[in-house]
Amino acid sequence: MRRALTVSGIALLVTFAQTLPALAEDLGEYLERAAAAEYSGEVFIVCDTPDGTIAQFVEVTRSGDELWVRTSGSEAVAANGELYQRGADGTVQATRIDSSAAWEVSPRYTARDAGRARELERPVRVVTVMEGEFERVMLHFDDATGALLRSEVRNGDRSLYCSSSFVSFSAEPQAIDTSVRQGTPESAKVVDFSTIDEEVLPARVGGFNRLDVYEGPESSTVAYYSDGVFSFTVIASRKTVTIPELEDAPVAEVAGEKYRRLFQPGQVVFAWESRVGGYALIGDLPLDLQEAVLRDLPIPGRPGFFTRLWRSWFG
Amino acid sequence: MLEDAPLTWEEVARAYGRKIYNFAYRLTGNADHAADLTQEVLLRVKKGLAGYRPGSFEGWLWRITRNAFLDDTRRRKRRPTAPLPEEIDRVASYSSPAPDQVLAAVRLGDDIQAALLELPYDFREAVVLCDIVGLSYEEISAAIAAPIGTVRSRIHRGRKMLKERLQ
Amino acid sequence: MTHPSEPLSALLDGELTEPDRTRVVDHLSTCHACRDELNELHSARASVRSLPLLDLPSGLSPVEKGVAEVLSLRRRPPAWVAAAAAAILALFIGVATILAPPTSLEVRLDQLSDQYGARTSLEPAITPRTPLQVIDRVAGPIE
Repeated sequence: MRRALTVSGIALLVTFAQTLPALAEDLGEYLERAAAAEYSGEVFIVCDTPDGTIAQFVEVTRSGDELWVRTSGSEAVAANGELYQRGADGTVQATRIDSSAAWEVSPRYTARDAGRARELERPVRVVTVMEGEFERVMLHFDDATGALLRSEVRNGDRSLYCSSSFVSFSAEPQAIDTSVRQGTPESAKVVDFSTIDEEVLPARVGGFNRLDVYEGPESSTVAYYSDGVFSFTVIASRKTVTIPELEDAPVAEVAGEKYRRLFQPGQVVFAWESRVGGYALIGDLPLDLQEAVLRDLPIPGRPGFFTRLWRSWFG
Repeated sequence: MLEDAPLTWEEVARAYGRKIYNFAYRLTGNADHAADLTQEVLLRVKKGLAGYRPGSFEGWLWRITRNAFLDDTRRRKRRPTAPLPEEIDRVASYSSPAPDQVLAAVRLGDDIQAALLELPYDFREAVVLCDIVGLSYEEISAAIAAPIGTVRSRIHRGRKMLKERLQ
Repeated sequence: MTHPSEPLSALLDGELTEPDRTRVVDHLSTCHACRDELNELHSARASVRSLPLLDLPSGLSPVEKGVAEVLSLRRRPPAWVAAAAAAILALFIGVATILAPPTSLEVRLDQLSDQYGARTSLEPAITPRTPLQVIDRVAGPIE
């Protein structure tokens, strides 16, 4: 009825419309646009972990197909599955993964438009990644370039796990020093899914789908899992897997089992021995998803008869 | 951060002895003093454990440790021939080699120990309790009977002084 | 906001609560001087944390070691094991597995990280990948 649209009525209508959280476009589109954005800047990552708070500054440049990062004297360039890393001692390591299963965001996530904000004086769009009613990730996307200027990841208990944000940003990327692209990395050989032991590397772990499997060093197998938002890589070997940098790390207890664990800003690494062999896992999972994933992989334990047999014959 | 105390002295000795020793060693730079102190603390814990009431076990333990340490230092200073706690000793056994570092400001253990010993006692103690023993600000506050603001300030100022000495 | 100094130490120790934490992190995003100070505090903190945790000298109470060391006996199993009958085979393989060196696959952290980083470079990410060597493991675990 006309009468109802008084000034206050219109004001109410407008207010109401603004407070409705609009379902965002496909989250994938936002993230893809961010991955193609070009810029140079410095990112500050800080994570609260059970082993303490860790933080790091990283210089980043994205230009063309390439992503360049540098921190504490070490730098790396990555593009299209190739990664070159130069350590502080000058040695370069090259890795390559050929194209693989398509990326998609799991339907357990929905993106919600959470309005606008400013980041470094730049207008940004705030998008939250929801798992049902739980805000798992908050993202700030730069209006001008689409770059992801800030992300905050929460654990299942709603505590903050990691936040990373640009502390300086320019939409004019600096030139990337390509001298680090030395040598031709050999491509990792893809393994046929039908030959994979489902007990060792299940197709579904902790709500994540196994996307690719490759041959790893010394008859090990490497599998990559992702749900479109978080991801991790697992190495499974009949041998014991040792990561020298984890030897001094404290033994962590997760879901009642003991693992070697090391937190780095934005990533966590686990290593353990199981009945079927040795494992190492690296990923960007928040704490509750770390537990969910470890629960679905073989638990720590002494190697079983067949594992010991294999080791005595072929180890 | 346990709320239930370990029940036996042996368990306490096993769980905390090493930390107590390192607390004393990093504060004094002297292995003998650290060893004596560890024995003393474990003895006091043994005596006190029977009457211990559940609460913050770590707070209680570190209060005892700290008091024993201060008593011991006072005692040593009165003895004219006793070596000062500031002497640095080399200790033969290390639990594990120091990890390789990529950080710019890493020094040899001895340099860092020397720099620590140059800090005023209050700052040194706060930094050691935080970065060697691994207590939270709240636990440190309980152990040294000072407000959290003081703890924070001492740790911060201790680190700033360390930074100067390590440059 | 005036430049926070003390709160930077508290931030590194994970002792800053909201809303201070967000305020300080936001301030860091615009203040180069404070970022420099954070780096310096970070170094000083890391230096102290890099000091090894010494073992108790002998004569004091015994301390339980962390994880048992893996025995490493450098002997190959006897060549005739392979030719034995099933029952005997089982028996001798039992012996052989005790004697055989438990070989391990050594993977450096940077290799594992590169594997992961190379794969994730194929798709968008919500956190910047830092496919690098261990940067500062001592900021966290003490013992």
